[in-house]
Amino acid sequence: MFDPADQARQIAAVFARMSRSMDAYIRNHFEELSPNQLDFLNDVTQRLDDAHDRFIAMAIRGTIDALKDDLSELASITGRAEQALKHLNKVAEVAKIAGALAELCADITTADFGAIPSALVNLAKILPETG
Amino acid sequence: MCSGEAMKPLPFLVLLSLFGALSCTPPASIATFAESANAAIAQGPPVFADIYESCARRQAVEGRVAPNYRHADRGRTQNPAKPSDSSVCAAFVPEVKELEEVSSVLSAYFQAIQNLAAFDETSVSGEAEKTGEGISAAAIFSTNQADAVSKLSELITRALTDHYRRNKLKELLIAADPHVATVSQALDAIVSKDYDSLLEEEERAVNRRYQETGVTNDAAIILLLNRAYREDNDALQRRRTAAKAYSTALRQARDGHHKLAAGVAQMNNKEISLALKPYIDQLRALALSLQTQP
Repeated sequence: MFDPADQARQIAAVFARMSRSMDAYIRNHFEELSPNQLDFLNDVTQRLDDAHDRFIAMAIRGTIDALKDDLSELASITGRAEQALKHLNKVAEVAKIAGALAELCADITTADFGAIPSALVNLAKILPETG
Repeated sequence: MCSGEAMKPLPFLVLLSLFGALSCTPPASIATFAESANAAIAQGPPVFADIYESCARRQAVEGRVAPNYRHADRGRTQNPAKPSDSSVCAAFVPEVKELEEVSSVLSAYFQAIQNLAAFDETSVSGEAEKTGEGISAAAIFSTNQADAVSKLSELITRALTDHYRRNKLKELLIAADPHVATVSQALDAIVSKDYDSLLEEEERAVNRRYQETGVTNDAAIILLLNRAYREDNDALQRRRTAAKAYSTALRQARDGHHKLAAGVAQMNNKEISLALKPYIDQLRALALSLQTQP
């Protein structure tokens, strides 16, 4: 299958190989080269490096472009995980209300009238949080 | 209330099934693994930023060394300093930004899994126990009966929330696994191939320039050049080490996630913890080494 990112990487590797060959040539003939020849060869090497960089940038672009579907799937799964957590938090809130109501019922049933105001306060504290 | 011998096995079976459900509590190691993976993946942006920086440094390397040493200009008839081609490096700017976004999607996923796996079920079961106590008191049960009812409320609630949480985690881990693999592989390819290739090119450019400027018999200049060369070379090696650590972290996160997704339905908690331990240890060490990179 045609992969633009891989193809760009392969072309970049060709430019890198040429640049390495130029480097090796400069290193091996350094003493024999005049400053102007050295400048020329360095300039060619730098142009080869520039071409390499351009194709590397294309490879990165191609790789990122190919990820679009996976990223949107991953974002949607992240959303589902957050929803599941919200659901659990809601259950915790409901349990809190049930606990406060049960406390109130217990106070009424056992005729512990002194405790009713504090049970009501507890219930009132929880309700705005869940609203 | 239950009475008679025939009814005795029922509460026993109920309790047995509740304890069975409680053994399904997602192990803490899932949260720890997701946290370690997130911590390591979060170290990506400085590595991505250096993709552009490496290109810019290579462009600047001649301009940085040559003007400082007169020997760099020996016998030249033209200005050797090639004006930097900023458009080459500019091509990396949007890519770097998008890479940060890609890694943030992966981080957000691991963060969400961590939060879900680390959900404190006692916040629900504790309240359920209180509810049980209240109901018991309201029904005027004996102390023992009230205690049993409140414990049972706690167990039932905990079993239900744990079951829900475990099922959700299983479903999400399996659904995300191929996408986690693709995204982490892509980031790994960019860092281990593309960025490494840029660093190698930068290293050659640095060597080329130091070789050219180092042609002198002046001991002081040679000393200064050696020192500067060593510093540049050390910095390059540190960047290479950071890139390798980040690549390894991505592989560990991917492999650990795959192992978890493949085994979460069959493995018990102990098996999951044992399976994830090597990944957690590696990811923690890698995150630490990436944080300490200058």
